[in-house]
Amino acid sequence: MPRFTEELWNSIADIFAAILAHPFVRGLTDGTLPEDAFRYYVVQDALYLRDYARCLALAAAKSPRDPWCELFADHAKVALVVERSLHDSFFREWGLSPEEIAATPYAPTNLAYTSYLLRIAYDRPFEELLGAVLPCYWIYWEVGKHLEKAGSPNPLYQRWIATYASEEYAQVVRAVIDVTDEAAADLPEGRRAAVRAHFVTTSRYEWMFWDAAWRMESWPV
Amino acid sequence: MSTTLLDELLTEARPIWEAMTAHPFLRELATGRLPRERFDFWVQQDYRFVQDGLRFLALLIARAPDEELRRGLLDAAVAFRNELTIFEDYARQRGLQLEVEPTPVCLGYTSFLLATAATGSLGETLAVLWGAEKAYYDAWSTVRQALGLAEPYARWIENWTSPQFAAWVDWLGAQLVRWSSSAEYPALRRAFLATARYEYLFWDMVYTGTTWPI
Repeated sequence: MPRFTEELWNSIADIFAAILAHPFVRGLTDGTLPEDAFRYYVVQDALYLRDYARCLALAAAKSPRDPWCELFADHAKVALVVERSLHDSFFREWGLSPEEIAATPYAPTNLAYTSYLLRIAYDRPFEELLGAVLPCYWIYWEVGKHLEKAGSPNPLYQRWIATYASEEYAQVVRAVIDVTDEAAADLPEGRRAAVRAHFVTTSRYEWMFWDAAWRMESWPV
Repeated sequence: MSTTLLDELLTEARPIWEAMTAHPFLRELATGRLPRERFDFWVQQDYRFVQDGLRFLALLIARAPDEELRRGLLDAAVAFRNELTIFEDYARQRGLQLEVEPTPVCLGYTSFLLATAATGSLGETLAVLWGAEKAYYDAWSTVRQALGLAEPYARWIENWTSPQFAAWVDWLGAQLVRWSSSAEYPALRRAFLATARYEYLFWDMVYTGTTWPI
């Protein structure tokens, strides 16, 4: 029998292929991505990470086992450390202050995605929360590996790619995949179905997040 | 009671509010030119919205700090339940499926409401509820002005423009003023404006039929 997470990944094969084929992602490696779209993306990603950290903190609070609580509490902190490191690198180079970043409105797709994560994190059981947060971890790892092979002529993009293709990041993702398989091990089918549904929904949001950056999406009113 | 806060919020949201109440969906509804399939699509999506709205209210009731707020919200929860019946009766007559997938705008809006109730302050949460209800009162009032209580919309028009509904919106505004601290005004403002934008986007989504891009 295949691992539960293998089944999850197979269920989003089409979405993942669409992500790799997306002009934003392709543009990172062939250098055709306009830098203002990349900047838009990194700023929205910083806002995203603040909420992602809160979801992971809720995952820690809901963990049925102590080592998992420790793991997610640690990841919640790391998400904020990564967010802060963006300020010290990319944002400083672009002359963007922490106040300017905090005052930037969430783009529609970002607000929808982070709100979805928070609602699931708050009122659904632990395993459903795993289904919702896993695509962000996993897709970035897979995208990172893919992009690393190709590399980028733009040093800015190359630096960004290196973060997600690192062995350190791989270990983080593997740990969460393992927790998901263990947490789902003896779940009745009805509860597994809910995990699958969240996994697909947030994978869609992952594609939409790249797409929003590519279009530099904003509110119509 | 000071209504300055409410006035400030509405003043700041005015351009969004005007775009919302003048949206072609509402204009065509009010002039009888809206294709019935468009209205049916609204019925399906708004039904999903009210279902999650009920969960939002339940979260807020659980967090209400006093009996006055708790009981007022409980009455509203009963009214929300009755709203669902209007949709169900209509769907039965039309042979319309109600368990549809929410569109990105519908899911985005309901997730935003639930995320605010889950992790936002009491002031923010009341601001989004007041915003959503006030928006519906204003939107459906424009329809009532043009159509009166015309079929097939009569029960919805009546529901969202009745004196009882107007009183509920006012009561909610008063609760928002009563329970928010000035420290949370910036967050509350952002939450209110996002609600107004989602109200506009919701009409726009049902009008254009915008659904998942992937």
